[in-house]
Amino acid sequence: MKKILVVDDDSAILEVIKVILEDNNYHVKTSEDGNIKNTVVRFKPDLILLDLLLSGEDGRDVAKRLKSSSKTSAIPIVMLSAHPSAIKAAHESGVNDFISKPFDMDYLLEVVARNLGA
Amino acid sequence: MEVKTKDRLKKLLAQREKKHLHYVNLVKSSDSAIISRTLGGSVISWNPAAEKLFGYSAREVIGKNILFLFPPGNEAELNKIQKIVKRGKPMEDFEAIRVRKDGTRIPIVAKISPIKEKTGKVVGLSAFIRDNTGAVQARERRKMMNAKLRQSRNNMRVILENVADGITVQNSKGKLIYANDVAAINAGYPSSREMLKNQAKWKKRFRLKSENGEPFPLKRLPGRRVLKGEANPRETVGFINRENQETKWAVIKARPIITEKGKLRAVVNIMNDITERKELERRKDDFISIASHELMTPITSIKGFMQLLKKDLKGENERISNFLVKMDNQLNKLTELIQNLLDLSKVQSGKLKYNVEKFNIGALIETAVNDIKKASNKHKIIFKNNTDTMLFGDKEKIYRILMVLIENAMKYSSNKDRVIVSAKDMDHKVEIKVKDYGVGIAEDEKDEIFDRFYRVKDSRDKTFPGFRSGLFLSREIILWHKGEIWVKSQKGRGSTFYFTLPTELK
Repeated sequence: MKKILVVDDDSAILEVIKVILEDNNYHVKTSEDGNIKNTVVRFKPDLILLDLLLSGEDGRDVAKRLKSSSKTSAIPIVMLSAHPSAIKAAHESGVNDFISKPFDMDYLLEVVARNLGA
Repeated sequence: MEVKTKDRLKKLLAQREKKHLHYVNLVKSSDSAIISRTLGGSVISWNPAAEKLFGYSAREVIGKNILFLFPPGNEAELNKIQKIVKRGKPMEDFEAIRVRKDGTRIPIVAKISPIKEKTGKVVGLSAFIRDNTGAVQARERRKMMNAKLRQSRNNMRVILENVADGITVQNSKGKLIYANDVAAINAGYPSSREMLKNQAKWKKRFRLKSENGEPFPLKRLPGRRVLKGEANPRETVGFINRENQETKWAVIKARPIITEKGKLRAVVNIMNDITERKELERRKDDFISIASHELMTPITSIKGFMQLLKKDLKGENERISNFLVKMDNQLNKLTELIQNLLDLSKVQSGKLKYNVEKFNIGALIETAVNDIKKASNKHKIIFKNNTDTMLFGDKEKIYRILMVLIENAMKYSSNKDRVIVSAKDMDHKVEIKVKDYGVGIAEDEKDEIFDRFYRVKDSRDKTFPGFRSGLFLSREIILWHKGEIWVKSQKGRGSTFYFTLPTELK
């Protein structure tokens, strides 16, 4: 079972994404903040869904940190944002893909599968 | 012999008589008053022009002291004339006031010459006198005009120094010849005088930027463009202080001052400080940006839960499934509205960002048409695709333009069932057409519909809600792509919206 870590500061969004992914046989862990270093090391996710605007921290900084560490750089990151125009900035921080909020369930699953190489 | 002498004498006398007469006639017929008097003051001669000028006849004044012509208490003036003439000197253009017989005063100008005996002793004087009223009046008028001119110059200065705008004037070579204090202080000088002295200093103090953040080239400054022949350029310029990086914003307008012969004489620059307005705009944009982000968050989870719910029903309850689809569509609409609001605020402040990519326009239209079909089955939407062209542009924004045009076509043809979308290749561009058979647009409204808050009215003057900003924003986006948008329509017979996108984005 593929493991996915979802990071978003909105608990309702975390919950709905968790349900959608679990319904599709993914193992999901969630975090409401960007302090995920330990979780990543222990949980070893195959993919990270990361919100761009976390309270108190910019998701792009989290992405840059993950991408610059040799232990975590290989993990694909999909960035989520309510600003469709943020796609450029998101890609500049080294993430693999981008989904604008709100999203269709089918599209979320499609992007997740694509980035897991399935 | 004697007879001869006598004749000669006679002839000589006659000649003298003639000469004398000549002089007498000259004096009599002169336009100037000519009078003569003894040094003591008694009048010896008084010609007709003098009679006319002063109102006294010769008989009345000959032998009288000339003081009668002087305004009372003016003996000092008389003494002064006396003194100069006694020394044998003439007086030219002597101006004074004299009194006429009827008591009125008259300004005169005189040429006064001494009358000398053969020995050179001065015994009297003669004066050529003219009415000086015209010259005096002209001088008074000039004085008044000068006073008025000074007054209006003062008024102008007070206005220029107290308006809120910075104002400078350049001569035809671009040199600064005037700056008010507002202009000087905004440009970082202690006074306008300092600004005129050190004209180039401000360029070292500031870095210029445009509204889109790019550097603003000096040659685009309105003043320089007027010097090159433009009539009324206008620019919004940001002045970044190199020391503290603070930015001040100004709208700069420049106007030429043209001579009667049509040559450029000077350039007036008017600078309106809009820093505060810019700051308010920025705060408004920030607010809208944050607010729309906050609104998107609950929409995201509601949408997710709804789609889960629909999936869980597995089509068992068609009624509820149908409601859920409708709710999902409404959420999409809400998202679109918020997105438009956000873009609208950005387009106004020139901050709308474009993500340019290469895409197949035909395929994009296909997607848009299919997405609309999913949301509504009231209309039959026909797509006639005649292009396979790849374009450069912001795919997401163009998708939204298509949604706006197709949704509008459906909205304004609620009694008809067909909307036709087509696309075809043209010379270096693709033309997209959205045609409906609905209410149409009156001729005089065709341009207005692209305005910000316009809505087409139906015949009962009841407005169709929701037209709102869709077309305005669409036009802005198409113009950014260097394309065009227009509409052909007849009231009651439907509308066709056209837009073009160039194949190469320059």
